[in-house]
Amino acid sequence: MVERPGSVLARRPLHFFVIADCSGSMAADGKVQALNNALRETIPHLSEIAEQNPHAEVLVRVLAFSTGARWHLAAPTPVEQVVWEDLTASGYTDLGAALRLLIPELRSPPMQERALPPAMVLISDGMPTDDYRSALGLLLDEPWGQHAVRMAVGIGRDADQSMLSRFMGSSGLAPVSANNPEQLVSMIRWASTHASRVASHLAVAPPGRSGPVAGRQSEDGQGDVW
Amino acid sequence: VNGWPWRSITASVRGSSHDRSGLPNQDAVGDARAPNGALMAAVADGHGGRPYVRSQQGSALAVDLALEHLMAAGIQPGSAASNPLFSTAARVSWTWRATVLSDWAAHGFSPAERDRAGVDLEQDPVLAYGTTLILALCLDDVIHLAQIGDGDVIVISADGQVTTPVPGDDRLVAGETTSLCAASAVDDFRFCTLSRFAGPVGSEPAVLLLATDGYGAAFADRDWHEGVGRDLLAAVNEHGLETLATHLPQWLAESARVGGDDTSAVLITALPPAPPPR
Repeated sequence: MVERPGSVLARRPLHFFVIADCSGSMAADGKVQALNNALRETIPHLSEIAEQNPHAEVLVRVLAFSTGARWHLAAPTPVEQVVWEDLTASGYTDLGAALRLLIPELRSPPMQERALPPAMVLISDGMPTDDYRSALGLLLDEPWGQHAVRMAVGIGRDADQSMLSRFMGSSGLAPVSANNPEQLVSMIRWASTHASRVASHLAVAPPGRSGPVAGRQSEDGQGDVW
Repeated sequence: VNGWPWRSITASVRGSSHDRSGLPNQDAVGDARAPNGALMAAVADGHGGRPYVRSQQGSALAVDLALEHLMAAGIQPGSAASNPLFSTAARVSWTWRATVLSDWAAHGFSPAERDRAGVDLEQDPVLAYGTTLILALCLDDVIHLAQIGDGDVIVISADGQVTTPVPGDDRLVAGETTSLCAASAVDDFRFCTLSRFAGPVGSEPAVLLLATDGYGAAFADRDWHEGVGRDLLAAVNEHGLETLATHLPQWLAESARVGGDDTSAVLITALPPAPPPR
């Protein structure tokens, strides 16, 4: 047997970013607690994506924005090693600050040339209070920003749908909405799973109107909390 | 395996992500020898994104046309001063575009292809066949290389120096690649010519590896070329290219399994066959 030339082979990094709204309005009606519960429940399911896509190593990071923005989970962490620590809510809704914090992470380096497109899930219940449009423009100027699979989840009826749509871009999909804790789990799980699948090149078609999104929405509003 | 002095082996393996999604191997690879002994090789990587529903046809066509046009270039008297691949690459680009348009005219897109593409393919049918391409023409005293899109060309000298001589392209970032399907394809090729005996003894190119990007993307280390080059030279010296013909598909299969992408390569050498074991 002739040994394979070269050094160690490795799965390709799939960077998964959660961009979470932690503004003061998230403190109302148990929204931030529901968000914590939803993320605590959802993130382990991403390891199923990793198992189904053994060529991808899912690495999780979490950005929190309120008055300014900060990394809640700064180091790219293998999904199976993520231990969720609760987010807290207070302050404004500085989405632009969060996007500006994200931009340097999308450059090569630190992004590996061999990485799969990043996956991003934005979760918000309100309207940005800073200039998020120029920050989004800068993010989309980055090649990895352009190619990122961007999903958005609106919490409650006050979520800025046009902002969420703008974040997602021309993916052919619309932001999903959650009006109670159960829906929030469902929507975050769907958005996260979909983003990861697409980023790992396995989603060959977006879900249609009869797909899981439409099926999980409460059309009559019964059970809505937010 | 071709005859001495330049000889080559090829292999192509479907990526593990394609195994799971049901997509075919969208790479293509080929080699040929001209009557005057010139060796020519080509490797192509059909794009994997949704709109590229016929990229496996595009890559196969690119390799076929490349070998056909390289054959014409290879039988001309060679010169290190001019790279005949300038005109070869242009001819390949033009004939590739014309052929895929003819194919589309004869075989319009099926509903399944339109559905899978997610874009209006009729607006730019050439897109569906998108592919990269790497060409090599190995003559007695000179090697000509041309490349459009991503992938790797590694050259190892007889004394073990490893180089990647084809100029880079700043546009090849974040999974983006130039492509034969772009209107700018002729201008997007990068070229280089290596003189075989111009330098000191030992500096002559002895082993070349042409590979689709699935090969390099499976290595954890971004500077993988040096180690691979060093190991390939040792393997060719110790075992001979002919023995490696049975190993190359296994090596590529390992990269395709771990990295997920289709993986194809041509290994070329001018080193003599390994002596028989005592």
